[in-house]
Amino acid sequence: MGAWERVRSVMSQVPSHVKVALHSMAIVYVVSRYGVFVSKVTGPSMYPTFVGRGDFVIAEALTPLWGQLKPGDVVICTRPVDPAESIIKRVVALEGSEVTLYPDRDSSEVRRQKVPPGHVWIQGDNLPHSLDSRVYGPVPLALVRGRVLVQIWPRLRWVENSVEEVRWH
Amino acid sequence: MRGFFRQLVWWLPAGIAITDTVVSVLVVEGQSMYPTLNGDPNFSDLVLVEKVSYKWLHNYHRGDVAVLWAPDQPRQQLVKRIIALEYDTVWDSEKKEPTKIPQGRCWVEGDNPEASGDSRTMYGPVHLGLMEGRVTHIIWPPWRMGSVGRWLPAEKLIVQDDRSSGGLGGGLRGR
Repeated sequence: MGAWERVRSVMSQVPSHVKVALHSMAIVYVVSRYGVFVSKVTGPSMYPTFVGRGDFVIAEALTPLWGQLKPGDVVICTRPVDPAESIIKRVVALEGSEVTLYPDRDSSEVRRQKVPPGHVWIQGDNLPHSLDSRVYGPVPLALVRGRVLVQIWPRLRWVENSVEEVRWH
Repeated sequence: MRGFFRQLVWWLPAGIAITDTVVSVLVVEGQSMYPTLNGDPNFSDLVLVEKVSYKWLHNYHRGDVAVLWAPDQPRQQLVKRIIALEYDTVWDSEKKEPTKIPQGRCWVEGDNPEASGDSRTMYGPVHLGLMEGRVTHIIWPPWRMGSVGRWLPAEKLIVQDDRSSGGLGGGLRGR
């Protein structure tokens, strides 16, 4: 009996419903990690684009994986201050470009900051109620999990790349 | 043979899911973790990387040898030792000053400081979200086989803050 037949005989002893469950979980993982996934939006930081009371969106993972993000894209990202959570923000600047920081709690001066290689600068559309790169700095691209395409709840519509939303930052 | 390829396609998602989120292997490049890894200069160590504790449980430990994504290169993985977690204070041997680690980040260094680009020399505190897995064993070459221990070099960690060991986050949720 060859090695391959031996593997098959071991596999055949696993109950079929267990196999189906495991394969389904694996397929769901692969599709959501490397394809498209659904995500819930909570919190006021993206108002008025999202109300943030249980909005649902569809995002695709390929654009960030290939490094093709553009300023104005809405993205879903691992929360930089807590890796167990996700956030939704808009990309304001890519690596190499400069952002302007207006006076806040930490500094009374207007500052310019350059986004380092491999990072993006993200902000919420609702600037006064958003905790974002202005507080925790540029975010590594590896934390960006998806680009938001469509809002599916409470209404169905495309989510546009909007440079207007970011022009005054 | 057709059965073999059908099985291969059937098992491919399972393989990707398991190597992404449960366990995988990695060939270590470079001398930044010498002598813990690549202790024999003529051979690269093949190591076992356990991913459940970081990617599912978010249970990061000081002293772990960790695989993480390079902050400046999204496709590049690094192998470093976790020296300090969020809120800890660590000794920055380049700047010669104590450094407080911000929330959601950690401090990583190579065991071989002369050959390591790490928190001291390049990145500063790195995001915990970049953590991919924990190196638990060397599995090849045979004469280097064995487990890789949790170990913390002396006089680096100045203040240990245990907010980080009992779960992460808090304080900023809901914003």
